[in-house]
Amino acid sequence: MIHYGIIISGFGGQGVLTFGKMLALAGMEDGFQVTYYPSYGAEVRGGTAHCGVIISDSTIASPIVYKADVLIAMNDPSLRKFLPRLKDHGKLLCNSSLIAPDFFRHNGRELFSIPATELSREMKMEKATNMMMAGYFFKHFPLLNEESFLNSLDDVFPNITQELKTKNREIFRRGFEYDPA
Amino acid sequence: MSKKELLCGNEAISEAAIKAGCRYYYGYPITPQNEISAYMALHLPKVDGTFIQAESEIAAINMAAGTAATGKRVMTSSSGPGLSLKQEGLSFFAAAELPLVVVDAMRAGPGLGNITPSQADYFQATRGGGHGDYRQIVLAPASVSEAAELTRRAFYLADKYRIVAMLLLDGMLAQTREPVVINQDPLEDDFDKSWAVTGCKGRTPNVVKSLFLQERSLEEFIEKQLIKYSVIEETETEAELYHTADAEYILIAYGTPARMCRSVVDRYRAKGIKVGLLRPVTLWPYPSRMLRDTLRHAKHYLVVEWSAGQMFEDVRIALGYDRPIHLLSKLGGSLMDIEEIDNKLDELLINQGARI
Repeated sequence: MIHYGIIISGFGGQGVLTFGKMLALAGMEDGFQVTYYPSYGAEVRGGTAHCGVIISDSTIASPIVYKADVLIAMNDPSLRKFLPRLKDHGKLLCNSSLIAPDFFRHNGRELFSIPATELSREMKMEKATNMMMAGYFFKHFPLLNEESFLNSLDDVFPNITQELKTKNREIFRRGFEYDPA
Repeated sequence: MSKKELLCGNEAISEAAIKAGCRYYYGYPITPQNEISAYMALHLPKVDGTFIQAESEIAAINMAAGTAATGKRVMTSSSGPGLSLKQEGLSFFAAAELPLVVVDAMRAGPGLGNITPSQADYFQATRGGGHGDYRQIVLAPASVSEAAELTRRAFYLADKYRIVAMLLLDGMLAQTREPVVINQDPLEDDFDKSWAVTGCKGRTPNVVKSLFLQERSLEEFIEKQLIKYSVIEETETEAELYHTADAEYILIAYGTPARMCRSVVDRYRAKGIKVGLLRPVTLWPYPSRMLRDTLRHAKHYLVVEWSAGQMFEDVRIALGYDRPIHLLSKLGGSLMDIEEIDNKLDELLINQGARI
């Protein structure tokens, strides 16, 4: 049985909700049952934002991710806030550009980290930090088809230019190929 | 056949409304239903429809009354605090027998409360938050697909009975995105609208009003409405029964809590424990007779709702005081974990002497 609960968290403006929506779209495209539930209403640029995505091969009872299989933390406050909701054997994906290296905090969970903000800044598009994280995520969690994910850019940004699409793909690829060693 | 889309409950309702022939929407912003306004603002003009962001909720419901009086399909939406403001309007709709579809994406109250998901507007929706002797149909979807399907039905029922049909959904369902295919075909929509105010050249003028000053005229009007209400109770009551036939423990829930309960039923059935679920789809009319006549056999009933026990009262009315009805509630928009339902159920099982 496949049932993955993923929490994506960060600050408003990092593309946390877009990332979640794209994952859900990719899951739908790949034939899974999916739900996407955003934190809503009080979010502002610079404040905290998060969403929960569930990808399952059977009917989803509740869209809330109580205990996550994967936590994607794009900044330090969101890691502190959501780490208690990561399963004991859950996997943690961190944006090390904005999270202090503190090996105690993940309490033995499998940790994957990538300096996503720095790398996307190097590629002159910091606001695509989410795509950098996404590339890295897809490398380590090959549950969904990469093309389903990348094609969903058209759904979340209906007026996206070809140039920006290519740029987003390049950033995704950079994240996919990132080697921390 | 439309394609599969990833829509939130609010967007599914909006798209289904447009497909059902709704061309007029008036609303005023409030979380968690703003995606309805956003969707209507974007898509209604494409089908020559009219979207107006009104200056207030009261203005929006009265604009809707004007459109409804002309016999056109119209919708408005809000959340708790805004619905409170619309209640005078809803009472006037009832008195004028005007069809309307109104959406309440429930957030937690009373007062401004907060913006998190709740089911605490049940009393207001099912008892009539406005003044006077009247009823409105209340439909409660439990998934994004069902939100779309019940929107289609709401327009049909509103026209068929010249009544207000409300879609009552928790804020979670309003915000959750799920795959959905919106049905293209509207249900029957060629209702007799000879009562509508459409310009009276060559015929006797129609009058749409809510004032009945002549002796006994209001009494007669209400008597006529009561007959209509009993026809609705007779023919439009709907509920989903899930493993209830032999159930010793019946969960009763609507909206998102109902889908949580469904997974609880599956899990306990796998353990050989006879649990079932009654999920009312219409909250008015409530499936009281179903409860009273065919579901009296259970040892225990557990009502699961995100309010202090509002639907609980309808269950009590249907089953009476001699049946053991329990309540698991969640207050103030706090999130319910499915484990809480398990724990409550385990408590009942242990009291009953079961090993779990």
